[in-house]
Amino acid sequence: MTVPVTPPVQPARAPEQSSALGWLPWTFLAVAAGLMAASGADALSRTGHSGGSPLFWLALALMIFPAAFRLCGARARPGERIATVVVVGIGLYAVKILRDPFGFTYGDEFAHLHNLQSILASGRLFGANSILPITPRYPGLEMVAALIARVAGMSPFAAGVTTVAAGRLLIMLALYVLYARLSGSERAAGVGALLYAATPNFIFWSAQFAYESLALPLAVVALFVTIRWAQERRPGMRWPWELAFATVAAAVVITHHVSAYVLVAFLFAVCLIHWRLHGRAGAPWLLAAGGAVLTIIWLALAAGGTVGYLSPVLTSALKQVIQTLARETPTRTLFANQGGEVTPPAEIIAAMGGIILLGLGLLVGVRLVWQQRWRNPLMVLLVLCGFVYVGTLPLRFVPAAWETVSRAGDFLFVGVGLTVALGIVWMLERGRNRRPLRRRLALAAAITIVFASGVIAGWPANERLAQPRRVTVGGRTLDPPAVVAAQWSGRTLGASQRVFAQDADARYFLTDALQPSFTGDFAPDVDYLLSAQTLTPAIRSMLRGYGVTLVVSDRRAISSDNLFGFFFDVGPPSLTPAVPARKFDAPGANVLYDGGDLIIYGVRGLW
Amino acid sequence: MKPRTDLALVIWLALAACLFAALIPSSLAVLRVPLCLPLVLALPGYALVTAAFQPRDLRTAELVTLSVAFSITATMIAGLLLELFRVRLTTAPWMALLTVFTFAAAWWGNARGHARPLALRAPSVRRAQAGAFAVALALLAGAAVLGFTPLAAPKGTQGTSVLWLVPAPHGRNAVCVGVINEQLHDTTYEVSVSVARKPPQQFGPITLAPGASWSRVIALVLRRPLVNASLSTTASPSVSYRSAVLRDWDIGASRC
Repeated sequence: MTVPVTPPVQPARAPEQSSALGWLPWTFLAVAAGLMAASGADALSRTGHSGGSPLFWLALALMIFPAAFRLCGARARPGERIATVVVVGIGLYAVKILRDPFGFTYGDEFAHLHNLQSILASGRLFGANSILPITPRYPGLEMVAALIARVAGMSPFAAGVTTVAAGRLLIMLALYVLYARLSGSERAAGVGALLYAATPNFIFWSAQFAYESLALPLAVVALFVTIRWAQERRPGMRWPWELAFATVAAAVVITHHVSAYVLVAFLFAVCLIHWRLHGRAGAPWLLAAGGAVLTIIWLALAAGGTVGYLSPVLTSALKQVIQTLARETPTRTLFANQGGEVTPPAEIIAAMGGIILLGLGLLVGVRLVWQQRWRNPLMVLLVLCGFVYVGTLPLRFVPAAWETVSRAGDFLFVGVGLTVALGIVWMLERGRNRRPLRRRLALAAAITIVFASGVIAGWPANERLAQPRRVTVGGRTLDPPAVVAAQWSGRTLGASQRVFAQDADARYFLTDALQPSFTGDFAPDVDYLLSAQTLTPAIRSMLRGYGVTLVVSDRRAISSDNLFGFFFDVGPPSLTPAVPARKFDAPGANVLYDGGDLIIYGVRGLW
Repeated sequence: MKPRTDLALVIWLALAACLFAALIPSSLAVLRVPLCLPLVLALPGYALVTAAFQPRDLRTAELVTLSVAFSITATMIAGLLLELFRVRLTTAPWMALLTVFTFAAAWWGNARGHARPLALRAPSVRRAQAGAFAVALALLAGAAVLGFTPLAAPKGTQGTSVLWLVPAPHGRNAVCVGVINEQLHDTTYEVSVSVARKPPQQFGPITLAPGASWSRVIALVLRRPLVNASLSTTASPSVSYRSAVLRDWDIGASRC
């Protein structure tokens, strides 16, 4: 890319010279106070008390507003801005850790935890995974976690948390340096990186122990390397950047399929825009082609099943979009969770307000980019990403497309963050002598509302706070029935068993019993097997075909819930009918473990 | 001998991390984390970045970003290389390879004249700022203690009682029977075990605290008979509310 990047906005005043730390201690204090409030909110929630939600929002406001106010100002030094962004990013990650302090509780985390346990146990990569078979073919995340576990003597859970924390540190740093290089403004860089935290998935979903949590930060680093490669004009001095790109892109490729494809597609799009605006020469063709070659090599050598894994998801999403447009399928209800619980009206208002503010910020930013720097291909593409993000919001109405759109948002928001930040800095600079403090306060409040809007859109109200995962009674700690059953099974029956179970139970059996466990309604259709009224020859054939020795029958409705199934059931349990469960109590089968609603059958004799 | 350049310091720290990893037991994670983690998340990347780029080419934030990214990448590439040569991914070869990466990069950087003199300056901190940091750390500690402590169960939490029955391990002609109390209160149980439909053997009363368990090994006379076990509580002894059956002896238990 041959177009120089020029700063759009110069700092209003010189940075403070009195203290290198600036307001950092106070921002750190606010974030710490926010975490104390978040911890209190979670404690209230997991002991069954009300009042957690207001405390949760207070926590987030304490973490975002002071940082936004400081970053909107002109006087902070770059070091303080970076530190502020990192402190907030790590602080928000700690909110997720405080929600799940005793173990992983997101469905995909169990699959990755199993991969990590497998590497630690066998010392080998590319093991098997019965829940998400594609994940061991992308072992980047688990390799880092495995070495951390080995070197630091940590548990797999602690090593996983540390790895994602490193990813979180990396994405905050990478966004800052990328935005700083693109915009030429440290202020825009700080505000933009903070704004990225408003991605709906940022606080919870993107903080889980899963491959995208590390691949996305590495992909942002690859973008930063690309812009530095483009800015390098000295003859013969581009090779370090090319080497840097190759190594970081390789890390993305071996960590997460979608992140790798998005990175390659993004770079080719930059090349095409460059070609359109400035001609073919000077575009990052080499980097794009290098990324594509690495992706294809990995696909061919190690991860051949990826296409088969991804295509049903994308096809289903596309089909449902078409059906929804043709009004053949019902739309998804916004602001409602799986159980049908509706989001409080105040949160709906905040969410809508945040989207409107984000849209306004985007428009102001686009206007500025249009006026000043629209010929920079990467900037043009990031602005387009902002538009695409807004354009995909209606797709959240489509049930099958919702998840795809939600995940795409993590990538597209890289463009939103920068564009809106440029708009904010322009608003701050415009007529800077007129009530600057009031303007900063208003913009910091707007950023906080946009952030709240992201949190509301990203995770349902009743799932943001901690649930009872481990409780104490008379000085002893108790774990949920599924954990007790899985640990008993692993301890007593060993890892050679193969299990059919409901969603949540299967995940615990995979990680706590180390027994290959199958679940879901596709290859094999375990849901059918568990819900059938009688023991048919087809069921016996399925058990034999998969070599299944144990069936976990769990009548508790939460066992098929990938969000609540990992916790204690509170209140009168919702139970499924007893008849399907009893079909396994047949000649040839054993009832090995009777926990009331959760029963483990030995089914080797039914083959 | 005091290191005079950043790359010399990197070599010292990498060596120290290897040494600590070898000497400090893995149970002492508190010591191993600060001493050994830099070799995974910082040192190889710093050495590689310093070797590849001239010091003036990068701002501090960019140097830190690339150092973390390259360290993560180096960890992955080292893991892949070990896998490629069929070496098990254990601590010793993995750390050794990373240390070799780090040394080679540091040597290369030094040869290219990219090493920088060490000039560590502590930032000036005012009293109020130090106070703010101290209060923040206290709040963080409070948040962690509250967050990581298991608390009382909410009202209405569903506990359970478990009865289990498996063949004894190692081919012994015996069964293992056990009870786990996952109720949220002390519970007194009675267990009855019947072999080949003969009059049952009774165990109990057995009083278990929440989370406690009980088990017995019952020797058998017959070879692989039908075994039934049932569980009742002393509150309602006539009601068997958990039952286990052993019909097929092909299930292998590894321990009782």
